[in-house]
Amino acid sequence: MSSHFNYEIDERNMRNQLKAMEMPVKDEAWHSYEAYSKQFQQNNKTQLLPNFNFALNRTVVLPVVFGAIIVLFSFLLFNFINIKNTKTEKKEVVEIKPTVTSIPVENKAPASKKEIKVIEVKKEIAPATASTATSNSIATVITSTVNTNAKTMPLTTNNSVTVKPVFSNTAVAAQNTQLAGSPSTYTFEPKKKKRRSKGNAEVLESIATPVSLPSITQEEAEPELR
Amino acid sequence: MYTKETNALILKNDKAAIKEVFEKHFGKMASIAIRYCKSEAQANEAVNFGFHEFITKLQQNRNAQAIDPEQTFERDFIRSCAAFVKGISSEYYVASTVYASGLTNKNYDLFETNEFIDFALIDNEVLIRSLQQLVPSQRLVINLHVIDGNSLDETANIIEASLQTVKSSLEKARYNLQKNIEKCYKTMKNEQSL
Repeated sequence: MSSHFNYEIDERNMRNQLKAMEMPVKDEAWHSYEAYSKQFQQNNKTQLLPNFNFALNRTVVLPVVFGAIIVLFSFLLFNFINIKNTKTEKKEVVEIKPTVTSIPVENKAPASKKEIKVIEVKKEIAPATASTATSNSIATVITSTVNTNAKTMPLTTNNSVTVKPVFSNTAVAAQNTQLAGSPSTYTFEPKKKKRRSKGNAEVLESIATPVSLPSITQEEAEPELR
Repeated sequence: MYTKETNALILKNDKAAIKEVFEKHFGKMASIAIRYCKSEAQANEAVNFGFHEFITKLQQNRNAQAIDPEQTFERDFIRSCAAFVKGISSEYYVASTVYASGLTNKNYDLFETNEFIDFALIDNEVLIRSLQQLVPSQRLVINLHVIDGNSLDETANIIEASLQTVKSSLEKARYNLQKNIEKCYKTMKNEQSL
C-alpha cells in the first residue's frame, strides 16, 4: 500500500445501501432448497444404521503381519527346544530301570550264545598272537573297566565289550591270552550267582573279542629278506 | 412474526410451513449471501446451507415454541454464511498473483486516472461486484465488521482468527475494496457506453 492512498469510501452510506437491498423471491431457489434438504434427510436415514468402519491402513497391517511372523517363529523354536525339569526326568528313569532289567535279560540270552561261539574261534587264534602281547598291566586295567560297567549296567556289557577293539592291539592280545589261558578269571561270574539266586533268567557268558577287526599281527607278515 | 402454529408445523417438518418461512426470508437471505460469496451460484448454496441450519436448529430446540426465531434469524444466518465461506478452503487463492506476460494493452492516457469517482453514488451492483472480487478472508472481515456492524472481537471470534489478523485483513480489505470499486466503476461505465 502506498502512502498516497486516501480511503474515500463512505462506509455508513455503503452499509445502509447494502442493508436495504433485497432480492426478489424465486421458485427455483425453493426447488433447489428442497433438493438440498432431501440430500440431508437421506444422509440422516442412512446414518441411523450402525456403520462399522475398520481402517486397515499400512500402519495397521504391517505391525500385525510382523507380529504374526514373530509369534510363528517363536512357536517353531519352542517346538525344537524341550524346556522340562531334569528332576522329573530322573524320576522317570528310576521308574523305568526295573522294567528294563527284567525284560531284556530273557531276550538277549540267545544273542550272548552266539558270541560265545565266536569266542571259541578266537581262542584258537589267540595263542598265535600271545607272543607279541606281554603287558599284563593294560589287560588288568581293561578288565577292571569291564567289571565296573558290568556292575552299573549289567545289560550293556556287550556294548562295553565291543568298544574294546578301539584300544591298542597289544591290549587286545593280552586279553585274548587271558581268555585262552585262564577262563576261570572271567569277571561276570558273580552276577551269574545273583541271577541264579533270583531264578528269573539265565545269563549266559558273553565275551566280546575283536572278531571283525583285523589285528596287525595277523595281517602283517614280515617279508622274508632275500 | 411467527405464530406458534407455524413453529409447531416446522417442528413436525411440514413442507408448507417451511416454504412459507423460506419465501418470507429469502430476499434478506439472498442479499446477505450475495455479498458474502464470490458468485451468484455460491450465494444460492449459502442460502440453502444457512436456511437448512436454521430449520434444523429450530427442530432440535425443544423450547422452540417459546422463542421468536425472527429476532435471531438474521444474526444466525450471517454466522452460518460466514461458516460456509470459511469452510470452502478451495476457493482461496493468492491475491498477489504476478503474471509473467504482463498486461499487453497499456493505456497511455494521462487524464484517465484523474477521473473523479463519487463513492457515495455508487450502484449496488458495483459495490457487490467489488466485494465479490475480494479475497474470502478480507470479504468476511469487511462484511462482518463494516457492513453488519460487528465489533473486531466478535469478528475475530466468528472467523476464529486473532485480533491482529482481523485488523490487518481489514486494512487490506479497505484498500482492495476501493481499488475494486474504481475498476468496476470504469468497466461498468465502458460497458454502458458500448
